[in-house]
Amino acid sequence: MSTIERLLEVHDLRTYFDTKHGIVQSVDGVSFGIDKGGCLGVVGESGSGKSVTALSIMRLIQTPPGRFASGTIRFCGEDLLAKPERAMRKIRGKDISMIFQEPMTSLNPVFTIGNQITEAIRLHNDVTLAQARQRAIEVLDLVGIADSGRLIDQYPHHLSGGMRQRVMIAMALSCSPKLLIADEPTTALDVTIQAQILDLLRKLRSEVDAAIMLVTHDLGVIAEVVDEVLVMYAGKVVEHARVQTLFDAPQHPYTVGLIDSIPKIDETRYRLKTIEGTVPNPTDFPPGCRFSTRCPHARDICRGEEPPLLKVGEHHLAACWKNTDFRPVRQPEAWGAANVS
Amino acid sequence: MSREEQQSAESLLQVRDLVKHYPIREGIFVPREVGRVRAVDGVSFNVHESETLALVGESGCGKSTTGRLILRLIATTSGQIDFMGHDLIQVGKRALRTVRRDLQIVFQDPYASLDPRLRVEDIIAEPLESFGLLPRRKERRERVHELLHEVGLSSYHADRYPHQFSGGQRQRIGIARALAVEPKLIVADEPVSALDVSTQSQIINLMQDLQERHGLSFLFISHDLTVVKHIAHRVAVMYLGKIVEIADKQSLYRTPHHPYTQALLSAVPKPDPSAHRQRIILKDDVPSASRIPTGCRFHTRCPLADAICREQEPPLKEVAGGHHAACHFASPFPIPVHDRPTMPGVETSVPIRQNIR
Repeated sequence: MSTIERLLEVHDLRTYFDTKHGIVQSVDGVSFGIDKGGCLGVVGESGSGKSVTALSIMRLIQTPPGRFASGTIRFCGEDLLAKPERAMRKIRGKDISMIFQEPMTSLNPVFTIGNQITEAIRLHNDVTLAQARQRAIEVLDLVGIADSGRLIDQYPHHLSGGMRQRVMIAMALSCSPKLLIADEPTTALDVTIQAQILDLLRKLRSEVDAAIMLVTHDLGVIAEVVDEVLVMYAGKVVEHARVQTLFDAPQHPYTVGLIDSIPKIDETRYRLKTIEGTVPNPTDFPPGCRFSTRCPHARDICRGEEPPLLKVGEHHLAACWKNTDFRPVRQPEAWGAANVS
Repeated sequence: MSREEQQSAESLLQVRDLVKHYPIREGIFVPREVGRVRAVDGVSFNVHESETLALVGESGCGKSTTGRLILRLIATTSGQIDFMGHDLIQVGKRALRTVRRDLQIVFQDPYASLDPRLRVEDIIAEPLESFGLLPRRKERRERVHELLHEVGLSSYHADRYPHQFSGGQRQRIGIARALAVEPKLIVADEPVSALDVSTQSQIINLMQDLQERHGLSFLFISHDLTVVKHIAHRVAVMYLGKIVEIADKQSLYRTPHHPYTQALLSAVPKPDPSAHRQRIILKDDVPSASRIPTGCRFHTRCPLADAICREQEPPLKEVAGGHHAACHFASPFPIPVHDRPTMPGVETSVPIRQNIR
């Protein structure tokens, strides 16, 4: 389908949940790709579908109530959605690994750090316990833990939040994954610790050749770490651009609103700009553009027809009728182009 | 001291040497104290009328405990709290109730702080009933509608239950409830940190509007320096139970004098990929409040720490007009940061001490 082989190619992914209140379209037609060694940020508010996208790639969606209504997730040329669970287990933690938000709850309190890291290593590699332990110490060193030889025999409760998050990252890197998914890795941490972890992520980008997908609600974190950004709103991709382009010339009104509404430390305005209203209920999205209920530019076409994700510039896609002067377009040529770069 | 007294004459709330220690006890039959968690360890500040004072710091610095001590939700170990001429520590139960009318709180978690079984009208009317204001039901109802409009909701919301609202709307209900009895001071404990970015800005704007309209004072407790920069007039930075720096917002953000404040400010991720980043990354974590380091409590993480810092605790001293910092080496930009714009009249180059490379 695509000309160049990419590490990850998500095409028209739809992850729905059947609930008693109706079908929740958490992810609804999302397409994007990540190159080898690339770094993609996925940004959105709660309920935008950013975490469900990440969990879908890991195939960690519980079915039922969840289901993949359509789409493909091609990883190294193979469709992950078509794989049996057994094959997925070989990929999870080895080729694709994930870091979660809560370092407190993602580690098992009754096992030592070393136990938990070597478990992952030995599950995926044919190595002895001593070799696995050696590798565990190596990755702990890699994530900047001093005194890793001592720490490896400690329990999670001995460690602070920042240290636990380092351990989580070490664990994720222990099998040299091709893709590392980080879901809000710094949200639960204090500012000074967040700075340490962001610094680590940036350093790892040059030292490890894993591609990174960083899921976050924080545009500040996005600006600091990634090359390319996907902005999600109500289960859809509304904008996809290089990070510099996104902040310099955002095209979608939601992105513009989001960037304007964050207080910035180096400027003083008396009033903050806001996006009026709230995110629509996921069982009852408005017809047409899902942002139309809050959009200052909304016209009739926005409330009736869904805008396609169109090319608006070099490496830049946006889904807004504003970009076609509110005129409907025929099947656009950029439609299949999930690729920005 | 005269300046201090003069200041305190106009202030609504005065806090002096506030201390809260939690004893750590061991032994089943004869519990004895083996240590203390020094959650708040000698905090002093004033809040003036129509002013927002922000308490900022990382988790465990004692900012929320300070808020709760002021509301007397927990008992103080020692210190003085003077609110509009009432000594809040000494005041009896009955008198405390009358004082509480002027002293309200907005909580962090809008999901946990509203009773799920009460309608919005009952939630907002509860403080009115409790203080015996507006005894007629009809009057109370009118007042509730007025309050709902005031916080940007509509009258028809009065008959709904909390679960029918989003996080931002719930926080508006929480604010309406605090406003119901027309307080003078509202302690807002992380009121926007559970909200999404786009709703966060709505609530910040609302709080600023209400302050303007009613001349409210806020004690705004937050970990988020960017939010604080927007809403506060003055800012106090806390570290391990103490205020390490307190100043006007402009002065604090422009010329932070304490190395901790500087590190905090530099650590905030900027939503601008082309921004200059000269980040001061502090090593390790905040020490436990049960084992506070000797001397300056920040010395274990401070890039400037010297022998004196390990021995002597630096007092909070005035470094510029109304700007106080507790550091032996307090000076504008004590940690050399080169690409920062030089402020006119401010000496930015500091002598490089031996222990900084």
